[in-house]
Amino acid sequence: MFKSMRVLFTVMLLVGVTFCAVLLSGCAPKQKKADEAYKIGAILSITGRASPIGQPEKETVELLQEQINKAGGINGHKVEIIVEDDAGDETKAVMAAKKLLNKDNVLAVVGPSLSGTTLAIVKLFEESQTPMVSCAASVKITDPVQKWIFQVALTDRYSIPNILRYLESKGIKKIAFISDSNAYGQSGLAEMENTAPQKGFEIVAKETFGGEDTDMTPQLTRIKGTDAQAVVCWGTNPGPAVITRNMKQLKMTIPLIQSQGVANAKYIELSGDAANGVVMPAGRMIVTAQLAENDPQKPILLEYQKAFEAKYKKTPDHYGGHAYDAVKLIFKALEKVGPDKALIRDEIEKTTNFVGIDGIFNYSATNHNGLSEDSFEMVQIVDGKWTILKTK
Amino acid sequence: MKKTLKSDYGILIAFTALVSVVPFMLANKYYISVLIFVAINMIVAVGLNLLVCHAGQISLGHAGFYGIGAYTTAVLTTAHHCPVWVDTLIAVALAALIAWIMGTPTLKLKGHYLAVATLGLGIIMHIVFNEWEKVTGGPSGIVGIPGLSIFGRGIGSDLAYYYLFWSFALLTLLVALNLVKSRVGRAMRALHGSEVAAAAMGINVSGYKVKIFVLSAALAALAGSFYAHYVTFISPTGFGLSFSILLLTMIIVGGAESVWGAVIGSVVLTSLPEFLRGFKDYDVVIYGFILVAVVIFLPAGIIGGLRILKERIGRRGTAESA
Amino acid sequence: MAQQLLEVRNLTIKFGGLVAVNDVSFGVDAGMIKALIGPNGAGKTTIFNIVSGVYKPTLGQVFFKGVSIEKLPQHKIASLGLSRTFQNVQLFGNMTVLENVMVGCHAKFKSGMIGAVFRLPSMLSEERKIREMAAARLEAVGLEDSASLPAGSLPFGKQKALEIARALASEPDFLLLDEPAAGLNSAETVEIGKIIADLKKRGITILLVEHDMGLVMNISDEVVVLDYGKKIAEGTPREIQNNQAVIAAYLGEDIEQMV
Repeated sequence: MFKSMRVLFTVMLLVGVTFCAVLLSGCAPKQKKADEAYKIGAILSITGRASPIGQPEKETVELLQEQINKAGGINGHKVEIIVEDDAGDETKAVMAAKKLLNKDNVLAVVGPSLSGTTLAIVKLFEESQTPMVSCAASVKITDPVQKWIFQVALTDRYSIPNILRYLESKGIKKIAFISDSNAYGQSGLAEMENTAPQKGFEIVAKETFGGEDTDMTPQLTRIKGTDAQAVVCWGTNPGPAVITRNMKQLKMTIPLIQSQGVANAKYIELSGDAANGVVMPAGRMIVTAQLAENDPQKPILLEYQKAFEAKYKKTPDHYGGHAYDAVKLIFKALEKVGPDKALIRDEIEKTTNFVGIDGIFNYSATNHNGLSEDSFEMVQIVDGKWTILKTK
Repeated sequence: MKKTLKSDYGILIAFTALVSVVPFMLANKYYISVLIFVAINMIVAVGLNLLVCHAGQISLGHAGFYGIGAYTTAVLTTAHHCPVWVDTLIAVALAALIAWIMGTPTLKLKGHYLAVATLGLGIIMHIVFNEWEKVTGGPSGIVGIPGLSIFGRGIGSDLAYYYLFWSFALLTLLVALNLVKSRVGRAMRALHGSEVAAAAMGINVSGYKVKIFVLSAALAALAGSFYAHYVTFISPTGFGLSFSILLLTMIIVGGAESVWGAVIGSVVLTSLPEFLRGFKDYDVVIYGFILVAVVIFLPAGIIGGLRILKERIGRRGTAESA
Repeated sequence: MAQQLLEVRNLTIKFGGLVAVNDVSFGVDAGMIKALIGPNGAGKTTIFNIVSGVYKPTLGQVFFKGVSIEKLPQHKIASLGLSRTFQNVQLFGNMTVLENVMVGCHAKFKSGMIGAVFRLPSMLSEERKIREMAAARLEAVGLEDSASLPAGSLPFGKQKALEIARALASEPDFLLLDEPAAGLNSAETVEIGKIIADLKKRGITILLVEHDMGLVMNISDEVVVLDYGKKIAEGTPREIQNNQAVIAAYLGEDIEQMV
């Protein structure tokens, strides 16, 4: 017995020592070259269920890193963007944040991709006093404003007024609201319930659907039985496409308004013919070609799309756009104030009239989501193509 | 298998010593936070090891109990200003109660049926976290959960969390080791071997099953409560089927033949993805490859592999001396 | 007449449409060895399972020490002092030989989870007693050298002996032995016969199901014969050997010759 104890004791110690050796060797050499390159972190959902969001974000981050280093870096310093995958998991996001903040000592972080992973690590950035520019859309991220946390994604707060203005122009006052039972749908519903009654609208029906549901006719049939004049749907693919097709099958003729969450080619592909006539708020990227020549965003949109297509042989989407804006905001601040986290934060907060993919950014001490209602266009699908509606 | 409790104690003391010096050997806080999650996962894994590997009852729903712990803590501390630690106690008690109510009918089932029933249990709890918006905050979760404090003083540093959570993890381990080598533990393992024979020896089979199910659920809830206090934010995504499966993977890869398997499993499966971050895009592939390799080459898990290695060395030793 | 330790009264059990045991009554006096025989499917093991509480009878009663036990759960019956072995050995293969017998002691002791977790002195002294008792039982069946081996690794004959040691660990008054000689060679059968006879000497009452007629006729005091779930005969081995109904049930096989 004594012998077996000794053997296992040795094994345990060996395991422990190797464990520590691996840990130590992993970080020792990296600290030496800390002053050479500017280090920025990115936490993105590259794998897992949110990979359609995280993947284009990662590609964009890598594209921008390559571009800036080819152009000689920032003030003569190379830029190293350390990309970590959180797989859409909050625990992994916490560990990724701890790594970037404590081991890599980054100056700022791009991301996370999702609202949940963002909210899980907000505290760590506040504590370590490191600026974070999240690519996620939840209103909760920047309301209330927290000192070190910024946001680039378009939120419901700005899209819903656009929708309501459109509905008003059509003389519609009674709406049915159907939302995805995920965080996105939930936040849209909450925002709509806050805003619509104030502006004289009435929500006559509220329905929800699950992300995996393949038939929404029961909910739509209930809506059909009300006096709703339009259906507003809040969700991400594929649910909203199912609703689009089901409405056509049920011969519902009232207008269908979708959210910015499905302003992508996939939605049209999934909905087929039924998509024609659907209206939604969207960032300007999908309608770049139709923008006026003097639109300030047009050159940037064209340049991003061209560079992305050249490197990855596919068209970018608005998720990549979020990452683009987040990285560019950090680059701009870094260029101006150098490698100081507090100054970078101050510089981002001072940003005004910064033209990006998602819109024109204006941050302030009370507003850490730099966008506005003007960042959205109302678009309609005509013959399977996006068309800008003139409502303003 | 022949290990006596005394040799278990020996390893436990060595392990405790290792745990207490590791923070001084680590270069920075990042590794400490990884080891904090190892401790949290270990508390759940050890409880699950008792249930699955010793009592032979599968559970595909333990993420649900972990979630009950986390959500009870989150709701009590944010909406009802419940003092910290009290919320943890309530969380553990609630999970135990739910496990007791659910366990009595569920554990009558065997094999695939039990797997499906516990799977359903976990899914139902996940749906509750998602849909009971007024209380759980729905899919967007709950923010602003306070950290833990001791004697009214908040725990600020990761190092303090490290020692706190590891004390609990080591205590859990001690409890599990003691339990396995006792009349109760033997009864538990007997019903794994043959339920009908266990009952014929006077063992209250369903009683013991429920007891061990409740114990493992309570441990899961304790870990869940710790998780909520440490991260200070929770949402339903972390408490679904994939976490239940990760927990089972921990105990299988670690090795089902002893409580130590759960220890090794939680260390390996929690920290391995972090080591593999260096491989960038290939980390997931390498991670999967390592898991498959362990299952193929070490069917008895890592602990089983160590035992065989030890036996071989032992045999060679005696052969040489002969 | 000696006191009846076990009495089975009008026992009937139906599985769906099948009547597996049909209105069977018999008693076992304290201190005797009684055998339950009959062709395959006659309902012998089913009666064992009813008596030990695995199945609940459709009709009828089982009295053990004068108490009606047919509605009690299995583990309660066991703790009244009724133990059993199984037709196809049911050892705890994941545990050692010694641990198997220690589990057998379960019903005799009390210490629970709290005692185990804190290793209270009462629990530790119980644990010592359990270990001693189990070791003594192993010695009684000659398995003391295999104490630390996994139970599953023993040869079949030793597994059977281990099952008996385990069943005896709780110091039962009554033992149900389900085909103790099945699968054993003749030397091993003689060995098992000795063990059983020895148990009787120690005052343990035994009900036995067995196909080996030689063993049955040698060691039994009384025999009950079942056929298609019904009792067709009861009496001493000699009476049974001459019973026409029994001979017919065994399809004309000559029981004398089988002996």
